[in-house]
This record gives sequence, structure tokens and C-alpha cells, in this order.
Amino acid sequence: MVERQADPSTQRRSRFHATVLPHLDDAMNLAWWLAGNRADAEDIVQEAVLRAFKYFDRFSGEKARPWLLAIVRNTGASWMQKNRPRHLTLVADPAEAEHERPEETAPSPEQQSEQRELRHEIDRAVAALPPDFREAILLREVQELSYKEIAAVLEVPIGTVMSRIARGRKLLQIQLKEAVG
Amino acid sequence: MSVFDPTGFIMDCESLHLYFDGELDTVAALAFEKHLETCSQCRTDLAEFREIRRHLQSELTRVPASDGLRHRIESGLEGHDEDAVPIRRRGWTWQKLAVAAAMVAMISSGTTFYLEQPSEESLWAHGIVNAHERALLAGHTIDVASSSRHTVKPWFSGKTTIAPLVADLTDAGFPLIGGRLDVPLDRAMPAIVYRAGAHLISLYMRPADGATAPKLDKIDGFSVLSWRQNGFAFTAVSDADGAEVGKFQQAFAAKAAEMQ
Repeated sequence: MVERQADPSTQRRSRFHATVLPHLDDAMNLAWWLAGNRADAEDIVQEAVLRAFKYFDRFSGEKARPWLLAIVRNTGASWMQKNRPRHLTLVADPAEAEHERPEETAPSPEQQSEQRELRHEIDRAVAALPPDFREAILLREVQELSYKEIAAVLEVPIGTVMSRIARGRKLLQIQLKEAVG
Repeated sequence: MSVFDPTGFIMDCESLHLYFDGELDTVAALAFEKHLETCSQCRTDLAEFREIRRHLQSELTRVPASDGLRHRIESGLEGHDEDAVPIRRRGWTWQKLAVAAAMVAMISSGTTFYLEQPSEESLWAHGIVNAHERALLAGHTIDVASSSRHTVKPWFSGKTTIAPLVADLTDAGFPLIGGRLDVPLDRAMPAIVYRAGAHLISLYMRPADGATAPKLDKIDGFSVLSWRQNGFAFTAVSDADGAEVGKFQQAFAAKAAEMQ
């Protein structure tokens, strides 16, 4: 292909494509675990990505993934406030989660059902965490962000991140001990 | 370290999460490892936290972005530049209705845990019925008219990335009429058209894993039958009745299994 004359808006868009869009799956996963269902999560991600595009000029070469996740998380928080009755606490629906699984490559039926049971327990334990703890745990254990990055995403002091992770982990420990035995 | 050394106990055991999360510098990490040697509680916790992390990383459900979402985002980016970025919402009324209905159901049932949403399958089914209906209304049921699958199948190449599975079901009473390119949701996909007596059956297909038994729905008066096999999710739509579409499905599934 012939190099086209640099149109700044095209250039900006392709830069955005290359730096931010690779993290779309992570954004979706976080939104899904915050919102608890696909339809809301997709709305949140779509809004967040367009917002990210709008503010892309302010993005100054720090890591793109935590940057995008911060926008997703903030969009999610205000989206849930706007669109949901306040007293409803939405958590992920493990029944829906079942659909999302990639097909297993056939271990024995017992292994399969044990595996499924375990996954259910894990999903349920995470879904049951209070939202503040849940997002901190997801950012740490699934997204593998540092405390400093999590503090930036959640806009709380590092000490708060520390205690949310510690308490979230304790809750999971108790839940899973009861469940898995 | 023992419980009788309150300051040391608290300081050290409290550092467990920092240690586990790699937030301690080398000196502090070494000091904590000394503590670990003497604190069986921390050793137990550490082992369990490792286990929990392993589970969260390998067993916890991960939901990736769907193709539909990617497309909406891409076209959102195409359409707008830095100023004025109105959000392009999914615009179909039936989708909004479905979400609204789900919310009403949720609120009236008083549940806060399970939120019913239209599944991806049901979004597809509705999109496909709309496409089938549009084609009927516009009198545009086929783009390529042929009763030969060797003509119909190649016609799609270059028009969509989905290479359709076309079967000859004349013997079973469902002659091939042709095919058309449809855009039921957000990407073009083949619809293969068969005749069932006085009715037409549009068979849509998109790549999908697994095999599932056929599931019949009635949407807007149309019979909608969905199943998976041969690496596709199939959806047959017709104004023929459910039983007839069921017979078509059986004939097609048998043929497709042979062709695999």
C-alpha cells in the first residue's frame, strides 16, 4: 500500500487503534464483572472507548491498559448510577457466565462436572464480593495491575487499595474454603 | 514470631499481602521471608492466596469483546472526531423493549442477583427475523437464483468471509432456491433460501463452535429454529409452521453431517 499523506485525524485514529483497542477484551471483561451482564457491559465499554478517544490527546504515553480500565471503571460507575435504581446491587450472573465459556476439550465427564462446579464456585465467590472489594481484586489478580496503578484507576489512596485487596482476599478465602472444602 | 510480640506480629503478618503482591522492596521482602519461617499462619495463608490467584486466573469467567461491539466501536470512531462524540447506542426498538421488559421482570420479582438480559442467541434470532422479514417485504428474497449448490456457494466468495454450507435437499422435499446476502445485525452473512411447499425458508449461518440440539422459537409469527453443528450456528426462519421447519432442520442436519 502507498503511504498516504498524513491526515492528522486519520493519524490520531490509527494511533488510538494501535495503543488502546488491543485492550478491548480486558475492558469488556472488567465492565462485565462490574455490571453483571453483557448488554450493560457493552454499553459501558462503547461509551468508555469513545470517551477515551475524545480524551486521547491527554494520554501521555503511560500504560494504555490501566488508562483505559480507569475510564471503563469510571464510565461504569456513573452509568450504573444513572441507569439503575440505587438500591439494587448488581452482581455478575453465573448462569450467564456459563455461556461465555470456551468449549472444553473433553476430559472425563466427572472431571468436567467437577471443573464446572469449581468454576461456578469461583464465579459465585467473586460475584458475592462487595463491589469495592471486587473491583480491587479483579484489577489485582486478573489484570495484574500494581497497587499504584489500581489506586489511579479507583482514584483512592494506596492504603485503601491495600486494605480492599486484603479484605477481598480474606472473603474469597473464607467463601472458597466453605465451598471447595 | 509469636502473638506475644504484638508490634512485630502485626507489622509482619500485615505485610503478607504486600509481599504476595510484589509490593515490598528487596530488603523488606527478605525480612518478611524471615518472618514466614516462623509464622505458620502466614505460610498457610500464603499457600491459600496462591491457590486463589491460580483459580482467579484460570477458572474465573472471562468475557471478551464481541465482534458486534468491536464493529460498533469502530464505526463510532470512524464517524466522529475529537469534538462532539455522541454515543451511538444500539438502535433497535426490540432490543430496548427486551431490556426494559427484563428490568421490569427483575424489579417486580424483587430479585437483585439474577438479571435476565436477552442472550446473544436471542439478539441474533431477532436480527435474523427482521432481515428475513425485510427481504420478504422488499420482494428481494434472492440475490443468486439457482437450484445448484455449486452455483450458490461460490457466489458468496468475496462478498462475506463466511463460506456458507449449502445442501441439496431436493429429495427431502426442500428444493434449493438460491441465496442472498443479508445484514441481520452488524455484518453481512449468507442466507440460503430453500422452498418448503408454498413457503420459503431462509437459513442463516455464522461461525460458532460446538453442537446443540435445535431450539424452536416463535418470533413475530415466524418459526425460528436455531442449532449448532459443523462449526456454524444455524438459524432457520420461515413462515412455515414449526413442524415443517423441524423436518427441514432434520434433513439439513443429516446432510450436513455427511458433508463434514
